[in-house]
Amino acid sequence: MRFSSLYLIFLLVSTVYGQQKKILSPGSVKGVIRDSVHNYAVRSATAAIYKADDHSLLSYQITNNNGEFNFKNIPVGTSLKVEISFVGYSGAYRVFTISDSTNFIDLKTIKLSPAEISLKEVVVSIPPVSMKGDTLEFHANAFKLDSNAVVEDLLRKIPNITLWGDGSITVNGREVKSLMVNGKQFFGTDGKIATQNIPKNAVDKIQVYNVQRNGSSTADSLLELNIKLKKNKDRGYFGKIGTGYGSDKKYESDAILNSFTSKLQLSAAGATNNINKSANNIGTLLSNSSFKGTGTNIVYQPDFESSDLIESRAVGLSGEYDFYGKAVPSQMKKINVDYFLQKKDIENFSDLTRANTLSAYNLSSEKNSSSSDINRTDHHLTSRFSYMKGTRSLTLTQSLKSSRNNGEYSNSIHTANDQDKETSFSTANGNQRSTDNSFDFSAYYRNSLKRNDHALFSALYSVDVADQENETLNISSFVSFVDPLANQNFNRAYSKEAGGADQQVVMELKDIYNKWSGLSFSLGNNLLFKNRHEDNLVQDYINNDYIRNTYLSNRVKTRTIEEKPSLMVSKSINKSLSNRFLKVFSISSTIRQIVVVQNIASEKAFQNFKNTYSRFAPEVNLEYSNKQFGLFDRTVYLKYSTDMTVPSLDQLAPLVDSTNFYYRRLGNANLKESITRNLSVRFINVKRGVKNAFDYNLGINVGMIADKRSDSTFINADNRRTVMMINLDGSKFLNFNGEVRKSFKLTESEIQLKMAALLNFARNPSYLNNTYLISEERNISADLGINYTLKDRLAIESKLTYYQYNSKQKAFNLIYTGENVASVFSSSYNLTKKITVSSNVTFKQSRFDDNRNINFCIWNANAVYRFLKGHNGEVKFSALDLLRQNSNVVNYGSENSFTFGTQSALKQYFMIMLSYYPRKFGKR
Amino acid sequence: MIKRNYAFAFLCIVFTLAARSQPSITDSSALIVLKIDPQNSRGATVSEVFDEVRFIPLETKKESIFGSISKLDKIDSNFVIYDGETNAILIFTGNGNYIHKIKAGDGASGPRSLYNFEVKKENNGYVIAIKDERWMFFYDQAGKFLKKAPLDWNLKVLNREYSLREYWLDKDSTLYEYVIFKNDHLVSKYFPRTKRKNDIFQTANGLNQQDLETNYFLTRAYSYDIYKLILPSISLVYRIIFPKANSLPPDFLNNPTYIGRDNRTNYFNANKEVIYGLSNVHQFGDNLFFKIGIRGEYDLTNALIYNLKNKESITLNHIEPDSRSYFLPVNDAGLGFVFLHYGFHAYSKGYLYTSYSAEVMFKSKDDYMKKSSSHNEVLTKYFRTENVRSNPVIIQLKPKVN
Repeated sequence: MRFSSLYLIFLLVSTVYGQQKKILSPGSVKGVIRDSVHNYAVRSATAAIYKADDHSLLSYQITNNNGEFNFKNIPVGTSLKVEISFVGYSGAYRVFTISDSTNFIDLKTIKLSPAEISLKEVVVSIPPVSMKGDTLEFHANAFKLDSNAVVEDLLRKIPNITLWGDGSITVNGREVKSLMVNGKQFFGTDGKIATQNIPKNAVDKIQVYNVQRNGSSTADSLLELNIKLKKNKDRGYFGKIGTGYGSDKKYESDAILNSFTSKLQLSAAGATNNINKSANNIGTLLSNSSFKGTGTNIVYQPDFESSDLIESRAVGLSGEYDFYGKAVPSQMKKINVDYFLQKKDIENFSDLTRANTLSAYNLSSEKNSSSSDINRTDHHLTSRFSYMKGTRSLTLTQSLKSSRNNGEYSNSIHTANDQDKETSFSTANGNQRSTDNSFDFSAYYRNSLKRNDHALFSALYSVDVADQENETLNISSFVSFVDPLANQNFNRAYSKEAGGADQQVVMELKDIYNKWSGLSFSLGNNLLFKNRHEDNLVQDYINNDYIRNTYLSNRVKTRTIEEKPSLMVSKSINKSLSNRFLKVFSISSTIRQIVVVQNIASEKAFQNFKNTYSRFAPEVNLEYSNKQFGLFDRTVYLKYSTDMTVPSLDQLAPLVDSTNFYYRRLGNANLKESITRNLSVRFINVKRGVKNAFDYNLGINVGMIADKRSDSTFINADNRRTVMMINLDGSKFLNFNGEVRKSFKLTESEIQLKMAALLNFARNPSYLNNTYLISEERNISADLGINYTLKDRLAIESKLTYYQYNSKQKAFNLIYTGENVASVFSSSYNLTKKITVSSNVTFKQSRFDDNRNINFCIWNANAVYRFLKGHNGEVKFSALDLLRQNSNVVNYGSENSFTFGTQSALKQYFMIMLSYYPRKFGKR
Repeated sequence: MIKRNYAFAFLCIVFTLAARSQPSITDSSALIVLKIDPQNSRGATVSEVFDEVRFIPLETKKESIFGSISKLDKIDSNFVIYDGETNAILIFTGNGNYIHKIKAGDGASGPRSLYNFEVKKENNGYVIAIKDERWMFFYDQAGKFLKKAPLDWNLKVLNREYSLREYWLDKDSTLYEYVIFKNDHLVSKYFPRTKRKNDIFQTANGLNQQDLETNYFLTRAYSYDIYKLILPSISLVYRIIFPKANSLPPDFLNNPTYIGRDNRTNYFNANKEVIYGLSNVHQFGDNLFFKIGIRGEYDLTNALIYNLKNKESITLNHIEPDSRSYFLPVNDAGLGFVFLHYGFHAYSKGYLYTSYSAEVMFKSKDDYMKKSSSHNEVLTKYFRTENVRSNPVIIQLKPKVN
């Protein structure tokens, strides 16, 4: 928390700096642009002010309805030039100086003449901005930037565009909703891939336009930003190749190469490291290897919070082929193919202490030390075909996954009673080998029922096929200091073969409007077939041989059919007034029946079940939105829903494996389905038409679960738990969440504030050693974040995260509490165009049970030096966990226990990394 | 006053047989051919074009709040307004004070839904005739229900003797664009159409009432001709030649590649700068006011004044505010959608009427406060007491006659 005060001081200083900047430029200049031939004021012409000596752009404006421009905060006493331009006209300019005695100059009328009849050509620079119909266009060539600048640097130079610390972009205070390159997505949805890689010199112009209109008011539509590349620059390649080595045998290497043409986008990547940087897809590698140009960024870091130590190797290929090669309105035809192969070596060790409530005066504890080492190989191949023409669309997707695991593990558990006297001790170690393969396919089709009608038909079919093989050997022993007869030793081998196929058909007829009643009707049906089989062979090592364990060896076939037919009736009432508001109230009521037929066939007679569950599950939705154009958008949602969950075989009749010494789950064949009734309210407020956004949303969710499957637990003297599920009423919950966002745009810098809070209350009944318990749990988490950016020089991000749990057992009059607080302070500063230094500090505090504390601090720092002509070369020196304090703390509470401890964590290392960014945009 | 409610009204017509009976002859002896390039029209100040400008804010209160003016008429001293958004007819006094509102579903005898209204002359003066799908409901100017009568969509009653019908299907199944009746007897038929199936006519605001009861201008779809209706006959008075880039191909009505709903729509989608017709025709002395039907960019000049004497055209989209309008714009071209979409709402007794939103009014507030040396009481009060959420403002303009 001490960091918060630090950056507050910093922000104050920078605000003062911003204020001073304003005072230095007190001048104002105005003028009016007229068409000299037709004798009228020229609307939407561009007026741009440059410094006369170095021709650097100070500001620009689009003339108003009377052809006027009026600039404020312009420097006085220095020679300036205003250039006027408009499509179809020859340009004009005036050179002037604002006198420091008046601080004002009126340039009066500046005449433009239509291009075709102008006698002499007036040479004017390319205007920085122009209006073309409803599109605002920024011309890249008008902005003088370093030759290595990327789009992000260009956007920073445009006076009315703001790049916020969280990556969002606003134009004149309005947020850009999507970012395109030549009207299409560029290597996925992450706009940064375009803005941080495409060189400014490849850009023709940046276009900003509305993608959605609300009636006759344009004040509330959403913005799209399109990067239009220069001719012949719509193809090229870019990427990164880097390798690094550091102390403690730490290493990191990655290579990614992306190439694109108007139709094809292709990426190939490979990465290997032992510093907990594990990308699970090619997109993550792509996002984290952008060229970045001269801007500042809070760089992505190795995961110091992971409970594992990971050495990973990955290769991937990703491609997108667009049949059209350009943006065609309401048409799309493209294929995406992705392949990713990842090998991981995961090491983990942890020391955890768990306290269990036994009774009002009785607590037992369990100390668990475990370690594991797993080798994992994953292949993932996906492809998608997307087709859209008018209202018709078809999407076909397939995914093939294969995963192999090979691991060893060991753990030991010591239990003690409340006098801290050891009651039992166990050890287990073994190894596991498994293979998982799965194939998914889905087809989704939708179309309008009639031309220009809202009514839609949609159909989804999906099939998932999976098979799994697992071989495990587990050698374990248990020693009881309370009951020597309970001592046990096992050497058990498990062999499991499982598989199945799921098929789902979802059909929907949506929004069929009935004119007579003013109601819309939707009919839907969701049918799911699940087929599973599982063969388990369990053998025990007895007398030098593995003998089949007839109890645990088993064959089970499960067949489940879920059918959910529904009918929704909805009505919507609109009220609007041009230029003023649009109010929409809509109500929908859904009648739904959930039918689940469960058929379990097992070799064990007591595991055979034929159950049919059926439940009426209505849903009601109310929505009221009030859009006051130019002021705010407010929406309130209210939803009531019912859901049903049915018990699984593991809950009904599990086979009890005695090697789980401390946890025996017994079955309960009489378990019923649980019914959750849920009521939620959500309120969203978005402020419109103001320079500094202020948005907030609040949500409350209350519910109760009837016949909740709850635990009935017996803990015996050596701390072994036997648990059986029973249906209990009286389970309730309440969740509250809220988020507030506020942005400030200062003269040269931006500040964003974000606050989020989450409150959970739950009341859960259970039984413990035949005592009826009600545990009341309360979790609070709150985040406060501040982002600060100063031009392209400095970026600061600071975050405060607070988490508290409180669990109260009324019957025992016991309360568990704990707190985790994390303060993160990250900053990045560009010393010169070639040198960037950045640092991030995380301070963590964990407190539990009143006064036991663990505090530590992780401090990482790095320095980056760019070399070669195009800044393609990079040397990076990183120092991580400089204070050597990282420890992964576990601190959480649940119904009648709390757990505290530490896990494996990445510790201090230093690394030097050398990278090269190959890049070429355009043919030449 | 009779005027089409929507500039883009679509009519699908199934033609049956070719003409057998003879159509009436259009007199073109007084025809004047005008060459006009809309893009080369000049700008002008308010005082150059209008003698008088008056802003009439419409009273904003709970009962009177409405969206925008879809149709406006002046009867005697009152304004009658149709607002499509709230689906209501509102009556205000000449000073903008609210009188009454007629809503769809008001009373058992009233209209179920509102489509439009017309002003009709009855024995005791003018009444408001509201149209729903099948009926016309008559109200007096205080909003009192009088009677209802079956609706005849294509009938325009011109005065006590004469009425005009659009798209008249004759006994021999010929379709005429206009026919004139005198006391229920057909006296003349104009512009027969040849046999077509599923064609579309983008009507360009057919009938324009210039001089109450006797003198009308007529325009036709896909034509740049302006006709004068001097009862009981129609004569061709002006033919406008536009630059080739803005003109329809000469065979647009007959070439099969353009005929049919889809072909015509595709043509105008692909040729956004082509003018599909004329509307809003008024004449004040030598000044001919008209609106050109065009789908192109908003900033195109689509409302013009052509001076028949000096052969110069002025664009109404670029009229520059001056002291006569207290430095407020006289239409919302460039700031809103009303003028570009509807042109002038109405003509009455030497005045033209347009309107714009309070949002446009407040965008120009600074100009009024700072530039205008004389302040108008109504406007000063308006800016003090109203806000951007207030009702639209009517602008009454008296064109110069020279």
